[in-house]
Amino acid sequence: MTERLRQLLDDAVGGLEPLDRDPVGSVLRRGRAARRRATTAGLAVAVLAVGAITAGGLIRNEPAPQPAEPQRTADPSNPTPLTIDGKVVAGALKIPVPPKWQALTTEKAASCIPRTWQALVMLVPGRGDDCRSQQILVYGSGERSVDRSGRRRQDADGVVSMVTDPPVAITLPGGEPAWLAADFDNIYLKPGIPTARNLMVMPWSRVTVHWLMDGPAQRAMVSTIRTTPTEAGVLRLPDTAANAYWSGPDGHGDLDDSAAISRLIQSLRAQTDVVANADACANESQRTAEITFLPTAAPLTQFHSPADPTVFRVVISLGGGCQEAVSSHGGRVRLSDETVTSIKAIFGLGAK
Amino acid sequence: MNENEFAAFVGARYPALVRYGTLLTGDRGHGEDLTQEALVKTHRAWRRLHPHGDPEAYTRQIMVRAAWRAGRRLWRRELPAAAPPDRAVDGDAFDLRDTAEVVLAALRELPAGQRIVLVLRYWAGLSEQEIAGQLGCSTGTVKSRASRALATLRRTGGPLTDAFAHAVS
Repeated sequence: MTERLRQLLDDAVGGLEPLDRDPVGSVLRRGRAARRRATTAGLAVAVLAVGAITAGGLIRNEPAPQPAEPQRTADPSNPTPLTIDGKVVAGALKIPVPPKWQALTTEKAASCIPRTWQALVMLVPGRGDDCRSQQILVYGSGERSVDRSGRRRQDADGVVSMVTDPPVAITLPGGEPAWLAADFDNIYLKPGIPTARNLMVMPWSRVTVHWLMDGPAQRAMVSTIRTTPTEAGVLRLPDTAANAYWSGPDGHGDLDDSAAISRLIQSLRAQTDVVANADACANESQRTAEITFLPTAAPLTQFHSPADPTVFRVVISLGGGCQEAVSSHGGRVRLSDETVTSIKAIFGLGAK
Repeated sequence: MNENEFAAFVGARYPALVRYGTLLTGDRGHGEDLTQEALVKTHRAWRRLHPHGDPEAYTRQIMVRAAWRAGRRLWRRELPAAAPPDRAVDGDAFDLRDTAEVVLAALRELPAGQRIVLVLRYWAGLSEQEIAGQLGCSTGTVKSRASRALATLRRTGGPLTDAFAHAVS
């Protein structure tokens, strides 16, 4: 009984050998990198404190420097999903309730989900007594990115760690961009099983849809969605950032030099070929790259809440006659091949 | 601090710790990451762990707690396979992978809290009280997570279904 389970688990890892050939070196380098980050953060705080005191003493009648905006979690203004006229409405999203399905409110869905963390609408087939087999969860998550799969990479310090892959970018009917953790045909998408792979985040609406169904069913359901986006325009970007990361099919890059980060932001701001909702075309057949801007110095491998409004992301759908960049905070522009090349060059990737 | 002693410890126990991390996370890459992060803390605490302490138990405890915290934070965001196939394949996908991959895939399907309890209970052989002590939760939580984990594995499908069903019958 128990022994059989144990045997299965033993079998799963019995033949497994570590990937890292120098674990001692990697551990020591990780420790040093962590200390460096802590020291840098401490110095930054000290410099800010000294600066604030100095400015306060020398410049009378000036308002005191504003403290840094505290890290917020969920924005209370996140959209609350509602069921109106047979459709689930949240932000720019409208999903028609499929025939013979029903929409459950948070209270009625409580028995079907591990934890009710916020207002949601759950779509389930039949009378709702079989909510485990297929579900669609819609909620105003505040999220502007998806948690994704990762791969191992060794950085310049020799630290081996996970790096995230960019999401799959699609355009919902009506023009709202959406980011998926996996493509629709992924065999790991299974009915009733919640994983990161069946998440769809609509960053502009800050709405998340969790599809607990297989890929083809998910694809069919997505085709019934209608959206009315309101965030099209030039890319909304941070004024500055402590770190910027590039994650793309041809490599990973990172910047912590403020001049280089400024160049990157200016380069993206200079893109004014705005994509109208009707012309948006990003689709799952395209490869994607993602630029992440972090407000404070931290490795990309560290957990950053998808709902953290201070983390900006730009997802670029590459090639395919539809090279678009979408900002997590609004805005979508067309990018030329030359622009993509120059952005990669700032990260030290590809041809200079 | 004697770096050589720490290096000797890592050299001897690293593979076993990575296997433990792999079960806790359901993923080989993340398991090795979890191991290295825990070893950083072990290295910092090495003076009080060696020679009179138990560095391996300390490391495992850190790994479990880190995995548990991550699971609470990301309860519905299980990390996917290290290298999921780009496209679906014809036929039964389980036929195309060996047992190890199937078991790890099944573990990944579980919410982190359930997976950790399952591994501690059925692989590490800890009692419910011991698990509750390690995780800082009640034995009721341990029981319910273990029960849900097994129920989920039964209905996941694939060759593990029978094995897990028999295991708890």
